[in-house]
Amino acid sequence: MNAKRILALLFAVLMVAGCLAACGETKPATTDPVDGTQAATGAQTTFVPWSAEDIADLGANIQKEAAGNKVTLKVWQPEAAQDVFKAQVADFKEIFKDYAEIEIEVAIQGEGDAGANVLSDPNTAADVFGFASDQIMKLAKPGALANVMFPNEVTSMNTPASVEAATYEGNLVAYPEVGDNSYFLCYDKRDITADQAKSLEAILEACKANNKRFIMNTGDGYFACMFLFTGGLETMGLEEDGETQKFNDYDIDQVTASVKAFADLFKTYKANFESNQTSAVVDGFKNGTTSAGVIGSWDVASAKAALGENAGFAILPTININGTDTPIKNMFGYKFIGVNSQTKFPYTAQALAYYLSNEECQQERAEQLEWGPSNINVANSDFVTNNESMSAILAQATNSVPQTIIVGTFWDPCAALGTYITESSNDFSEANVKAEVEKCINNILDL
Amino acid sequence: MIKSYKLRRGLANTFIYILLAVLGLIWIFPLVWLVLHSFRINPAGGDPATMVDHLFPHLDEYGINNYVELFTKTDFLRWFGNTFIIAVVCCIISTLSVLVVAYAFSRLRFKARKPLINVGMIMGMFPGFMTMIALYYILKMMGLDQTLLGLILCYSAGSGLGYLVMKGYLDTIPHALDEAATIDGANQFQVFWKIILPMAKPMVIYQILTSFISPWCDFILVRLIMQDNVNNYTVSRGLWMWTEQEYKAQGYFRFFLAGSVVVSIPITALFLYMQKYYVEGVTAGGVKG
Repeated sequence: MNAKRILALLFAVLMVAGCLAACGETKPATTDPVDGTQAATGAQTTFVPWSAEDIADLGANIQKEAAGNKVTLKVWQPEAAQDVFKAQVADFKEIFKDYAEIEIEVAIQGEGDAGANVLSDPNTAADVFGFASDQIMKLAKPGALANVMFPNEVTSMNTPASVEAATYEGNLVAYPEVGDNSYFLCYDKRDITADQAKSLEAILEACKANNKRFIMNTGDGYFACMFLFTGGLETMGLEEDGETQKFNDYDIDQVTASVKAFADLFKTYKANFESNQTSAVVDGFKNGTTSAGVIGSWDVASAKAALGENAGFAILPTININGTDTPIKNMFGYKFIGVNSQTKFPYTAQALAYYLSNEECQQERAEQLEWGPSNINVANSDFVTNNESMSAILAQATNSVPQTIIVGTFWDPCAALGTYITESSNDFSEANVKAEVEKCINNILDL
Repeated sequence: MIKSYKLRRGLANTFIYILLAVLGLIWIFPLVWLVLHSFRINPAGGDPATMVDHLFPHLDEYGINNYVELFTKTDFLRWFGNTFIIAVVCCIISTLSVLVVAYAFSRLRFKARKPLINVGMIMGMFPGFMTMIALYYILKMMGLDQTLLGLILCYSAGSGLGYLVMKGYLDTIPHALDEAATIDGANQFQVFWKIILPMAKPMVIYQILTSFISPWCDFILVRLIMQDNVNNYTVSRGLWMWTEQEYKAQGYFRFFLAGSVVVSIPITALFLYMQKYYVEGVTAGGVKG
């Protein structure tokens, strides 16, 4: 009977401990609604992207949809950005406080899964959410995104490429929020000079000299498509059937030459080349085994932490294809703010999305979070042009294929091609490579 | 040919033990790796690398920083508390309901007993997540989605259907005991509470253990029901969140490792404490006859 008593005691203790563990932690919870006090912290005047008349118009609509009740909205943004967005949301409430009582909750949701979670239950999903541009087709096709209410303003303020990427079947369906969701070159300035960083051959040669590695993720279609794009292939949206990927008029021999150039180069430097995730590049910087690599804009902060002032950033280098130094072309994505088409308060949600994507908010996020802007003025601001990593990746945008309407079958064949060319035991004769490239393109079209 | 039986046996045993040791090492290695790397820090300061090229952390790389930050910088403690509450409540509800169902089927004779046993068996064969879409919409209609209560309901509501092993065990307890108690004036509840329950202790422990563990391991239901309510996540859902791109880029992998080790502590502790009952329980249920 003693054992029973001990058991009971054990459970009681564990239970109490559990309660304490759950209740004790009352630190400001991550999904707490933003309280109005935060807005008061800024004695400076809140930035207002509308004229007084526009505010009156919008306010009237907000008042109407509130119908005397509280307007409640939910915003999804990743964890790292929570504080910034909470402050910005508080500013937004300040603008319309005379028209309706607005309560806005900022909840944690990574941009990668936002689209899937909106589709799985639009009712409980956020009204206004950040997502990556590759999800635009998935969201827009079933009508999960509401059309942008201020298309002219958004179009004139943001880079043409980001606006194009946010357009589906002629309608602007999302507010560009970030203009640099892509990847570029990062290198250790102690091993590689800025001049060497301009060509892939020189980078690999420097890695060989330092007995260190160059890392890029060839086993992922998002990165491997650069082998095809550098050879002149581009995606052009969909064929008329609405399902098949459409390409430009590419020259198969040129594409083959590009893929072969990469394959030969990686084979020559196989001891110094590694295919791995972008986080491995940062790890390599940390433990001093890597001189350079292709990293994503999301890795910039950790790369800077690892290398300090030795961190160098540049656009992707050139590669010598049949004697010509060709700049490597990549896939360039954006991040958007979408408005859930099932929101109960469309006017407030649209106004909020517009507010969060405006110049001032993008500037704040560029400065506090290093989120590269899609807004033209912010992109030309001193802060961004003087920031090595941000200006490098924005420069990369000029030589890239926008990641807009890409079919789901695009990625795996590209990844397979990437894996093929990094297997140094393969025989990269022209005929073999051409066959692989054709197989890849056919798989994208047919699968 | 070796003549000596002793030598032959010795050789055979040596070979077998080496083989077993190697197999054991292979099996335990991922766990050892997990524990070792959960203590890996960056001796130069800052976050440690997500992946390193050496299997065992270097001597200067050990530290408890990951654990300290796991509890101070992340939501882990909250998730741990959530999971613990769910586990304890589910454990109580499902153990009771399994006991009651098994007792009824084993000891009482009523009209629909056989059909009910069959229906219960068949229903128990459907995995719980088959109905998850329906569950989600029903919970949402009741306003219980994204709540701990909703999750507790999902985990424990159907647990009575797992009565089979328990009934098998109760069947082995002689009916003469019940009859004797009845003659002495005990009613049905007293028979259950004072006679059967103490005798079924090993099986009760087994039930407690299995139902306590399931909320720690389940991922499917909690992912569906909790959606974006990070405050109500359980450990498995929370740890999964840390494997997303955004968190990986921020070096959350070290918290993932440390968190995985911490999760194993309550389960291991309970197991160690109840081990002797547990072994009794499993074997006792097995040798029916």
